[in-house]
Amino acid sequence: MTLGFIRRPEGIEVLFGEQERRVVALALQLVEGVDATDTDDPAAARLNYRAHPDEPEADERFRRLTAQLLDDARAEDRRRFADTLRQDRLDIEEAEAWIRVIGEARLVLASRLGITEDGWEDGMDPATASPQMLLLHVLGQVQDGLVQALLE
Amino acid sequence: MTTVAPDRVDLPDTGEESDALRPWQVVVWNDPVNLMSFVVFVFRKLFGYSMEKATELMLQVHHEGRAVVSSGPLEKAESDCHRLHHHGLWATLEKA
Repeated sequence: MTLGFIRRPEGIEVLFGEQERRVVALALQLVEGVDATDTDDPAAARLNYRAHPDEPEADERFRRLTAQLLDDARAEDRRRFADTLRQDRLDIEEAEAWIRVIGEARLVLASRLGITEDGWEDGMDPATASPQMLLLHVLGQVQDGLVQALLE
Repeated sequence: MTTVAPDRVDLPDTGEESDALRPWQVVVWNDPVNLMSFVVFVFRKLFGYSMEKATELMLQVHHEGRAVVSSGPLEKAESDCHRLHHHGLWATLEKA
């Protein structure tokens, strides 16, 4: 058993109550709130991947090949996440959608908080941390609990 | 009975041919946000690595800033890169 989750033969049991689920649901709001065309939002830049950063032509070709696939995969993850937020049992694909959406939400939060170096959590006091920093921390705990359950 | 070895033919090294044949490497870069456990999970899921191998690669990313996690022809390398992006990992491609 890990934080919030138990591995079962057929998938993952979710032990969260209503309050925890409301916090987890914030991940969806965060990722859906990103406008990929907003050049002033560091979160949009963080989620805009480049495979060939030093070769513009190759990078453009990669984007043409994969951008729609990535958008579709993210949309499917979000749909699965939204559809299963109230469930007590997740199958493996649903659980993996959860960890990707939560992970993406953490990237959004961290980029807007200006986190660029390791060690940002060292010495963090939950009592005095900003709401965004606290959410980043808590979503990390949820993601880790789910990953550990999946790895069991 | 015997066999005759063919004469060795030395082709001029233009550099282009050998460059085209070099495989592509998929590089994952360190970032301060993705959890170590999550990165291990992704390496295991996408590439079928053992827990030991996935952990070794994750630690290499963490301590050295980057690690080569797969390699192969361009099409396979770009597919791997795309799947890593779908999982939120910062991945790029380079020639081996």
